[in-house]
Formats: sequence, structure tokens, C-alpha cells
Amino acid sequence: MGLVFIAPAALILLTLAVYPIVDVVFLSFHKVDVYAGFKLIYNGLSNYARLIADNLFRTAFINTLQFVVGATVLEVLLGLLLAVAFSIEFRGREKIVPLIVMPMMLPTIVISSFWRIMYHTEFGIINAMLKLVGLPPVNWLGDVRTAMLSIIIVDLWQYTPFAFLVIYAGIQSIPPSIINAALVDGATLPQITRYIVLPLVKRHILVVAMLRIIDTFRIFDKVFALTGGGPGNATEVLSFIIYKNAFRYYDFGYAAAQAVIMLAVVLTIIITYIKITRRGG
Amino acid sequence: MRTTSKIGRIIHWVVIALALAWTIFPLYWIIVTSFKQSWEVLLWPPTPVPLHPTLENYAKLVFKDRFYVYMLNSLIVSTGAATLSLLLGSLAAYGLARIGLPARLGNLFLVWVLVIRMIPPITIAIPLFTILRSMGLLDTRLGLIIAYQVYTLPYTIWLLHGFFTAVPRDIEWAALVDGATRLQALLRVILPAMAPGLVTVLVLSMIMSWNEFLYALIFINSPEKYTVTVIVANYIQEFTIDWGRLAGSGILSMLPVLALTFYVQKYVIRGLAYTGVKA
Repeated sequence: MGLVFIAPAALILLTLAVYPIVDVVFLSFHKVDVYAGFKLIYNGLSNYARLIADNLFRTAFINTLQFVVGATVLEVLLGLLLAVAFSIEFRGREKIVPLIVMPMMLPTIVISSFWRIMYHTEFGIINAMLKLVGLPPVNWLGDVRTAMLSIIIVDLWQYTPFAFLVIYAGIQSIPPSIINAALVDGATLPQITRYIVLPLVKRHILVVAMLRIIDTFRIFDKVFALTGGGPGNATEVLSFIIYKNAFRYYDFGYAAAQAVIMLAVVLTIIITYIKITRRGG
Repeated sequence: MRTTSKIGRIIHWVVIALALAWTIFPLYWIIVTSFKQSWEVLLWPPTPVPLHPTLENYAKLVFKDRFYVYMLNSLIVSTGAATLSLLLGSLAAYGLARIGLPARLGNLFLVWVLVIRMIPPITIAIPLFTILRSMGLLDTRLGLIIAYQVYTLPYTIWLLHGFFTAVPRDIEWAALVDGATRLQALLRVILPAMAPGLVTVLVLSMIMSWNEFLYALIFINSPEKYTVTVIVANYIQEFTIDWGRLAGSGILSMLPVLALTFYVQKYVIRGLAYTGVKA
């Protein structure tokens, strides 16, 4: 009986998400002739052989990992700092929280275009501020050393609010009596944070870190808008090279093999995440 | 919590002020840029307020680029995707929360839906492309609406599942005792009772679709069908970027999102329940 209600949605999701997962694995063993009406030619493991020897794929993989780790670690740390700061009562808090949270609701491509304007080497406001404090200008998006960092900074701007929100919710759920008791006993704020808050929101921190890892893996919009994968290959990431192989070079079979590897990695993380949340939840 | 020492209060104040400035400054800067004339955008050092404020960027966007066409496309696609998800999702969520599936199938279904929501969209883009192609739906807004179900349907099912679980069973039993069928009870009694929740879910799905870029980029080819994210990306790709116009296009494309966010503000935090965190 329940099945009747669930069937339409289940059918759509089977067609749009499960069949494609099977199909992308299938495609990865083929060469797809796009110009002959998407004719499939079986070519065994040769897409995977090519992938192993492909330096660009390796670079994109490492770059993606750099972005994932850099963005996640910084967002969780900053989010934690903010969550503690906002847990201390002050006037106007309820009005400021929605403001702080706003960036994560905005279109990534639009946000990236904002930062692209601010990062500009010659007339960008960021270099103008550096000059104000006597520092030399930085070629943010054009320098191999700073390009990935610049992309991470934009992600920090957009998604630190998410880490903040989850951890903040965790702190809010701690009974005030516990903290008051500690205060009466003369504990300082850093002590309370270290010995009461942190242990109690450990789970929230873990969950938000996993969610950020899963989400940052798919990075596409920011690279597309900010650097296009450059300079050189400094900011090439998995989603972006798969996109280019499939939809610019029409090398569907090879792109499918890359997609399968990416899917395998991310699925492993997703399953770990689900196990963690189920166990405690 | 309260602060204790004076130094603590100062540090606290600095952290809050920095967080606010950090969040607001980019928005302030882009608004300012969008009101500058092209020569002023390129001025060094940059001017903190426009010397000669102008509407020329917005005029260019509206009259020359017909930016409203892209906004309309985004509106059609996001409304369509969110509505379709709400229809399918409310049926599914109701079935799961109230009737249930045999054994642990219901739980399994929810987990499965969550996994779909989390996989990187690019990994299934190629098969989606061939599906839409074989249905003749490439380069159509309807095709994009269908593709967006990958994002919005799982999200809708999770949020609504939470809402349905929270609605008291009594009102439903009353309707069933009076001889209503399950579907009638759902349509006439339960859905009206949770109308605010439904609107919230609809709005959140709309924001999600409005913001989407990858599938819009891949599945739409004709410029007259571009969504706002694709046209903004196009402005960035131009050989000589018109920065003022780019800033204006960003402001125009995020205004509807800001308006909608204002409406769902309260629920954004609650929406986190979807992530699996007990908030």
C-alpha cells in the first residue's frame, strides 16, 4: 500500500540517478562514437589504462584533494570559532545570525564572479587593501602558488556559515545549567569551551566535516568562473576535467571512466558518513 | 553563555565585527561596482563609493541584453522543478511516514535517496545527457526541470518526511474514520494542515534550482533558453570582461534568492535536519 505512494518518486529516481550510475560504469568500457549516433564500441579496460597514465587526471585528483582538505579544515575551525562566539549572548544576535548565514544561499557562480572582480590584479579591491598596509600586489588567480588558495577563500566565504550553523545548533542544545554550574565553579570561557562544549559537539563537528568533504569533492562552479583550471593545470579538478572530456571533446567513454573513479571515491566517503550518522543517531 | 573578563569581551566583540565585515564587504563592493561607469571600475586606487553613480550597467542589462529573459527562464525552470518535486515528494514522504514499507525497506529507501543527493552531479551527467537526448529533451527547459529532480526530489522527500512525522495522527484518523481514502485524507486534511511547511520546501527547492549551474550549462544550448547562472558565466568568459555589467548581472540574479531566503530564514536552520544532524 505504501508502495503506491512511493512508486512515482522511486521511478523517477531510478531513471535519473540509479540507471545513470549503472550506465556510466557500462560506458567506461566503451569508446563512444558521438558523430555516428552515439555508437558504442567495446574497448575493454583501455579507458582505465589511459587514465592511469594520464598526468592531467592525477593532477586533477591531487588538486581536488587539496581543495577538499583545505576548505573543510578551515571551514570547520572557523565555524567552530564563530559558533562559540555567537553562543555568548549579545544584543542583536538574532538579527546578525541570518546575515552571517546568507552567503550559503546565493548562487555559487554569481559569488565567484564577485570575487573575480575583487581579486583583479590591477584594479581589484583586495590588492588595493594590501597596498594600503604596504604590501605588494598579488596575482591571486594567475599565480600557481595562490590560485588554489584563492578558490578555497571563496569557498570559506560561502560555506563557513554552514559549518557555523551546524555547530551553533549543537552548542544551543547543551543545557545552560551545565555551563552555569561551570561558571559558578569559576571556570573561564576557554576552559568551558575546551572541556564542556567541545566534547558535547564532537558529533556535530564530525558530521559537518564529512558533509563538507562530500560537498567540496564536486567543486565545479568556482573553478569554471575563477580560473578555468589554470594557471597551467594548477586548479584543474575532477568535475572540471570530466566535464571537458565529455562535453567539450566528446570523449564520452574516457570521461565515463574518470567519472567511475570519482564516484567510487565519493561513494566510499558517503557510506562512511551514513554509517557514522546511523550508529549514533 | 556570558563573557566573564574585559579582555574576553573585547575579543568577542572583535570576532563578531570581523565576521560581519567579512560577510558583508563583498556584497557591498559588488553593489558599488554595479553603479560605476566602465572607466571608474578600472580606476586605481578603486573608489569606495561611485564618483558618478550611474544606472548604465543595469540599463545595458535590461534593454540591450534582455536580462529578464534569462531570469524568466530560471523562474520557469526552478518553479517547474520545485513543483514537480513537491508533488512526487509529498506522495512519497506521506507513504513513508504514515503507511510505511514492509521490513526495513522504508529506511533503506531514505538512505538511498540521501546517497543520490550526495553523489557528485558530474558523475551521472553523461547518462543523463543520453537519456534527455533520446527523449528529445536536450536544450529544453522541460528537460532541465526533469534533470533537476536529481537535486530537488531527494531534498524534498527528506524535508517532507520530517514534516509528516511531526503532524499529529489524530486529524488523519478522523478523516479515515469518516470514510475518506488515504489519498483524500492526504489531499484534503494533511497537506492543508502543513501548508507553511510545504511552501518552505517549495521555496528551498526553487533556490536550489535557481542557483544550479552545471546541468544548465550542459543541457541547454540555445542562448534564448539560458538560465541566469549560465549567462553570468558567459559574461565572465568574454575576452574583455565588462566588469560593471558583470556586477550588475550578479546583483540581479541574486535578488530573487535574497527575497526568498528572507521568507524561509527560520527554516534554513531546521532544514539542516535533512543532513542527519539532530539539531
